[in-house]
Amino acid sequence: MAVTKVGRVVLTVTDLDEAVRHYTETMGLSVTTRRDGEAYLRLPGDQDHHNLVLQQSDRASLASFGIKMSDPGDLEELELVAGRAGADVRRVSGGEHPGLGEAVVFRLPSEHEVWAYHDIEHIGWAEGMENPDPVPEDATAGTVHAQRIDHVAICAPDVGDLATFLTEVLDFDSSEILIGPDGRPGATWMYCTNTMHDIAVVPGPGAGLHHVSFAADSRAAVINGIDTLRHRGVPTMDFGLTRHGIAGVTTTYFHDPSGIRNELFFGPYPTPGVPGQVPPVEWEMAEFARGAFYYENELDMAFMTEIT
Amino acid sequence: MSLQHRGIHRLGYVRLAVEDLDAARRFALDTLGLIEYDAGPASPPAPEARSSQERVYLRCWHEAHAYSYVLERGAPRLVEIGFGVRDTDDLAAATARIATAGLTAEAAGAGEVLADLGPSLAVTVPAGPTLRLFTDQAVPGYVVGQKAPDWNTPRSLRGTPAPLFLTHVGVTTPDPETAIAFLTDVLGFGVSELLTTDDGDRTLSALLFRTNNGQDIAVYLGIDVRLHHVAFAKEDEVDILRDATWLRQDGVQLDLYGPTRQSYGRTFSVHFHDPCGIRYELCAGGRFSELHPQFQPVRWTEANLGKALAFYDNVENKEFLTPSL
Repeated sequence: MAVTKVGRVVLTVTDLDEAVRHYTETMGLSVTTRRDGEAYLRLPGDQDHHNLVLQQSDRASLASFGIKMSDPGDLEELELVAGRAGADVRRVSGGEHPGLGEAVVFRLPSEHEVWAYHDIEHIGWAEGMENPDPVPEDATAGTVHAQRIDHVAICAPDVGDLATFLTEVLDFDSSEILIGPDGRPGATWMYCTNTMHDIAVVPGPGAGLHHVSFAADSRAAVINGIDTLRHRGVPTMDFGLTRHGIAGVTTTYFHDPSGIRNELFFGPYPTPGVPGQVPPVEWEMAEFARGAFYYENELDMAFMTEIT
Repeated sequence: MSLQHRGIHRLGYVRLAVEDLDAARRFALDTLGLIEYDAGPASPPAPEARSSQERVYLRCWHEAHAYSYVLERGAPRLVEIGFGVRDTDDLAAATARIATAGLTAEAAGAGEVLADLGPSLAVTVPAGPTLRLFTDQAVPGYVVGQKAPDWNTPRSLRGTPAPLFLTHVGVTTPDPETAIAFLTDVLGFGVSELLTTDDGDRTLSALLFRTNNGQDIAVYLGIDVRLHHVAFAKEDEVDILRDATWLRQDGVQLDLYGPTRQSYGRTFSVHFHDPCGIRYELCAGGRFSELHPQFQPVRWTEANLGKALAFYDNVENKEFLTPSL
C-alpha cells in the first residue's frame, strides 16, 4: 500500500561509545543490539526493534534513513517505480542486519539513501503491552524523554525536484511551503502520516542532513528537556527554547557528540495523511524570520547554514 | 502508481441530533470555542442551506476542512460518523467489501446528504453506529489564513478551550466484538488498545484507528448503540487544566474524574456534558499508531479498568460507564 512512517535513521558517528551515551543517557533511547562498530537503539514510543542505528566512522553523516511500508508487496512495487523514476535500486536480504527484514534500497534525487522495509522485529511499547502505567520507564529518568522519531530534515540541491519525487513516487504532500526567491519551493514540510511532517526538505548539498527530530510528549516536556540538556552541559541553539512560526510548534536544537543536529520537538498538527486534500500553507521569504523563530523574529545564520 | 495510502485516511465529522438545537449550538460556540462554518461569498451556492434553523455546521480553528461537527434538530442520537477516503475508487472498493460481508452500502451523490460534501456511502456497522465514507469535503482553509499565519488561537475564541481538531468519537454497543470485527476486517481499522474480561474471553472495549492518533472510534460495552462522547484535541496537559477552569467558571459540571491521565490510550483528558446531554472530552496525547500488520494493541483486563480510565483517581465513577445521547 504505502509508507507507514519514517522508521529508522542510520548515522555514522566519530566516537561510537560517546554517541551511544548521548542517545541513551541524554535522549532516553535504549540499545537493543550492539555489535562490532554498530549500535541499534529503540525509542520508547515506537514498537519496533530499532529506530536509530549508529555506526563508527571517521566522519559524521546521515548514512541512510528508512521508510516502513504497510504491505509486503510494496517492496517489489517500489523497485519498479523508483527504478522508473531513475533511481538505482538494490535489495538487502532479511537477517543481514539485526532486527530488520528484507529491504529495497534506492537513492532519492537528492542522493539520500533510503531503505524501504516491511518487516522489523516487534518489541512493543517500552512501557509494556499489558496493563501498563502510562509513564516512562525508570531507566529513562534524567533524560529528555524523546518518544519517537518525529521527522528527518534533509538537504536537497533542488528542493522542488525532491518534493515532486516524494509526492509522485512515495505519496507525500506538503503541509507548509517556503516560497524561494525564484518562486519555486525554497523549503517544504512533507507528511505521509497524519502529523505535520515526516520529512522536511531544505536547500543544501546532496545527501546532507539538517537535523534528526525527536518527538516530546508536551511543551512542558520540551522545557524540562532543555533544563536537562543545560544541566548536562549540552549546548542548545543560541535561542534556547523557541517556537517555529511555521507549524506553531515548540522546540529546541542541539548536537550529538559527533556534531549531528538533534531536535526535541512538540506540536500536534493534523494532516490528512494523503496528498491533494489540503493546500499547503505558504510562506514568502519576507516572512521567513517569523516563520523560523517566532519569538525572536530573527534568523540564526548558524542554524540556517550549518549542516551535516 | 500504486504506492498510495488507500481507504479511510481521516476522521471527517460527527453528526448528532438534539432536541434543543439552539442550546447545543450555543454551548459549542460560546463555551467550547468552536466556529460556525461560513463558506463565504466566494463559494458556490450549496444545495441546501449550510447552517439553518434545523442544522448547524461547526469546526475547530486548526481544521482546514469546512466542518467536523454537525448538529441538527431531532430525537437525540448519534446520526453518523463521517470518514474521508481518497476518491471514488476507494468508495467502490469499500462498497464491494461491505457487500462481501453481507451488508449494503447506501450510495449518495455530492451534496445530497450534507452541505459541501462529495460523493459518499453510508453503512451501519453491525451492533454499531452508522458511518459515512466520503471522497471530499470543501476546504475553505485555515481560519488563521493560508499565507504566513500566526498559528495562535484566534482572538475571538480566547478564554474558551477552542480545541485544535476533532480527534475521536466514543460509542457504546451491546456487542463490542461484532462491531470491532466489522471495523477491522471490512473497513481496515487498526486496534491500539483492547480491554477484555480478566479471563480474556470477552472483549469489552477497543480503541480503533485509521489515523496515527491511535483512536478515531472508541467502542465500549453498553446497553445499546449510543454516543458515549465526542473528543476534541488540545495541545497538551496544561492547556486542559486551564480549559477546565474556564469551563467551571461557565458553570459546567466536570466529570467526577476531573482532568486526569487515561492510561487507556495514554492521553490526558477531561470530560463534561453540555445542556443537551452530549458528553465532550478534551484530549491531549495518545500513542502514535501504525496501520501495519505487525503493530499490536495494548491489552487491558477488566481488573485494571480503574487504572485504565483514570490513572490518578481512586473513585468509583459509574456515570462515566453510561452512554450520553
